[in-house]
Amino acid sequence: MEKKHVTLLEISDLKIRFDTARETVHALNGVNLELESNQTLGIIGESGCGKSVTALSIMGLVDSPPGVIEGGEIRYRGQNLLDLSESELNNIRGNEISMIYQDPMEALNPSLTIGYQVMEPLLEHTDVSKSTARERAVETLKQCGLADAERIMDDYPHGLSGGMQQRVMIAMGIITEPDLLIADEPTTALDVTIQAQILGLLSELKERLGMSMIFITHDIPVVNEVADRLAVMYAGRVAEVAATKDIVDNPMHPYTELLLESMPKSDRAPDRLPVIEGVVPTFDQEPTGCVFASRCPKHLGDECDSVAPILRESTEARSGQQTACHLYYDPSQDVITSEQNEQTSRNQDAKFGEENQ
Amino acid sequence: MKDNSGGHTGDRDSKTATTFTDAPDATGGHSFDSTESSEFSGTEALVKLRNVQKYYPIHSGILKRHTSDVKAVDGVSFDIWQGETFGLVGESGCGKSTLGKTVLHLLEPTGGEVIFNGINLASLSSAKLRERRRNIQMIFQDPASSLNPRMSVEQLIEEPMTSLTEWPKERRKKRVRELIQEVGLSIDHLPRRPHEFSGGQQQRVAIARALSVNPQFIIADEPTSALDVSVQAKILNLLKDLQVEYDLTFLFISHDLSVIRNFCDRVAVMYLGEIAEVAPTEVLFNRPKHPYTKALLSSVPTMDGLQEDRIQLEGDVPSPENPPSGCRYHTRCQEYIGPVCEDESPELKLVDAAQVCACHHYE
Repeated sequence: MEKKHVTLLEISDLKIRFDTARETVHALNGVNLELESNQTLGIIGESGCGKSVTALSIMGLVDSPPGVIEGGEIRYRGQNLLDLSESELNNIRGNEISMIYQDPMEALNPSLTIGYQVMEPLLEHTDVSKSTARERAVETLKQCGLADAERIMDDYPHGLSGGMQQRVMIAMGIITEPDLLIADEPTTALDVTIQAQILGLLSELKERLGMSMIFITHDIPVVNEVADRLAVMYAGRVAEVAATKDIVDNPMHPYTELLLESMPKSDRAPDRLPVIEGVVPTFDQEPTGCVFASRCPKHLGDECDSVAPILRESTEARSGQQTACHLYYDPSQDVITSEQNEQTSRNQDAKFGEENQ
Repeated sequence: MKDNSGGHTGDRDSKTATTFTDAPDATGGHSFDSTESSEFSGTEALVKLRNVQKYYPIHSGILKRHTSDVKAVDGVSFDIWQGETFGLVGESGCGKSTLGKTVLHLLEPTGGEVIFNGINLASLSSAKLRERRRNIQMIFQDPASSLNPRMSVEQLIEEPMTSLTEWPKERRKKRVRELIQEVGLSIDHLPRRPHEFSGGQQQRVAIARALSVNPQFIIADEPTSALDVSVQAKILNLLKDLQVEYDLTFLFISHDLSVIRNFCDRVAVMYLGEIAEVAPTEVLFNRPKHPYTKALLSSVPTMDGLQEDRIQLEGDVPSPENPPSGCRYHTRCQEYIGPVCEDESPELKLVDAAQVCACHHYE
C-alpha cells in the first residue's frame, strides 16, 4: 500500500546556541531531519540531547536572548520558517502546526476555563462565531475521549486528573486540524494504563485527520509503537535515522546500540544492564568531530575527533537507514572538514545578522 | 562494635558474613543468589506487614468535622524476606509511596502492625524508634529535593552517622571517604554542594548517605524515575552490587514495570490502597493472575511493537476517598463476573506456588 508522500518539513544543518552571562552552550550542532506528510517521526534521546530545542525551534519558540540561531533552515512546505516575521509565523503556529507539551499542569492556564482554552486557537485563526467554536470544542473534546465534554467546558484545569488534562491539551492541539502536530513527551507524566489510552487516541486522530506528527520521547518502546520513522539524537545532532523497526532490530550507530541495551526490558531481565561510560558532554564551542567520540567504545582514531561524520546511508544499511558514524564510511572521501563547517556557519551567521537588523 | 565496611572492597562474589553487631536479632552472614527467588522460602521474614492502614481524615463543613477518610493504604499484609528485593508496583495514587513511608513509620499507620526483626515498630517509644531507624533507611525519587542544598557532600553523608550513632569523628570521616568511592564518586567531590552534581551523581550521594549507618533494610521510592535510561542502568547496577556487599534487603517502589522486572525478586501489585497480587517476579510477568496485573502488563509498550490483544482500560483510577464497593477494581475490570465483585471484597488467597491474588475468580 504505497502512499504518495511529499516532504512536509525539512530541517537542515540547524545550529542553535544559548548565550548566558555565565556560559555559552551549543545545544544544536547541525540537526538534519525530514518529515513526510501523514507520517509520524519519533525523536528519542536523553536529557540535553536537543530534542525539545528542535521542537521549540520549529514553533519559533526559542527565546532570543539567550537563544541564538547560528545557522540552518527549517523548511515547512518549502518555506523557511526562520525567515518569517512574528505575524506570519502566528498564522502557521497553533493553526497548521501545533504542539502538545509534557506537563499539562504547566501548559494549561489555571485561571481560564477548559472551554476558553480549547476554543482559543479556533477563534484566533478562523472566522467562526463563538457558538460554532463552542460546538467544535465540545466535539473535539469528545473525540479525545472526554465523554463529559459539555460539563468540562466550564471547569478549570485543576479539577481534572492528569490523563484528562492531557486529553484537553490534545484537543487544543487538534481543534484547528493541523497538518503537523508536535508532541513533546506527551505521555511521560502519565501512568501506563492512561498512556496506552493516549497513544491509542493519537494514532487514531492521526489516521482520521491525516496529519503528520513529531513525537518526542526518551522512552524507546513508546516511540516504537507510534512512530513510522525514528531519529536518535545525541548532543545536538542526529546520530541515526531510519524506519523505527530497522533501528530497533539493527541499530548501526554505537550510541543507538548502547542506548537500546541499557534500557531495562519488561519482557526479559538480564543480570546486569550494560552501561554507557562517561557523561553527555556540553559544548562551550562548536564541536569538531563526532559528538559521541569521547564515550564511543568503537572509537576509530583521529577522524572521530576531528571530522564530523555526515548523516547518510551506508552501503551495508537497509534502504533509508542513515547513520552519522565513521565506522561505515571512509572519511577520506567526501566529508565536510571542520574548516568548511566554519565557513558555512560564518556565511549563515552573516545572513542572519542582516535579517535581524 | 565491628566495622563492617573495611573488608568489602573488591571481591563481589565473596558472600562472607556481613554482621550487624548492633542488631543482635539479624540473621548475619546469610548468603543468597538474587536470581533464585526460591531460596527465600527457608529464610526468616525481616519485615512483616500485618493489615497496615493509613487513612487521611477529611474535615468539612463549618465545624470542620471529621466526615470521611482518604484510605491511601487499606489493610496491606505481606512479608519481606531477609536479603530479597521486594518490588511494589502500581499507578499514581495507589498508595505505594504512602505505604513505603508507613513501613518506616515516617507516617504513623492508622491501623495494623509493621514488624521489623520481630519487633512491632508501633510498640517502640520515639527514642527507641529513632534507634531502629539506623537499620531502615530510605532513598527518595528526587535527590535534588532530598539533599540539603546548603550542606557539602561530606556533611550530607556524615549527618545520619552523627544523629543516629555514637561513632567518634574519625570513624565517621573514614566511613565518608570509603562510601564516596564505593558509590562511584571520588574524594575530590566531598567539599562540593549538591547543585554541582548531575541527577545521577546526586542519587549516588543519597545512596551513600543511606548506607552510612549500615542499615539492613532500604526502602527505595522510585530511585531512578527522574534519571535518563543510561544513568538509570548505572544506578541499578550500583544498587545490585551494594546489595550483595552489604547483605541488604530492599523494598523497591516503582511505577516502571521494566525496572521492577530487572531488579526485584518478588513483586506486589497495588491498586487503590490494596494489594491485588504478590508473586515471584518471573511468575508475575509470565503468569499474572489478577485481572489488574494482566491489564497493567499489557499496557506497557514493548520493543516488539504494538500488541494486538492489548487490554485497554477505560477511564481513570477511582478516587481513594470514595473507593468502589467490593473489589475496588470492579469498575474497570475486564473479567468482571457479576454482583459478587461489587458486594464482596476478595481476600488474598494462595493461587499457585508462592503466588497470592485477591480476586473472586480464584475463590
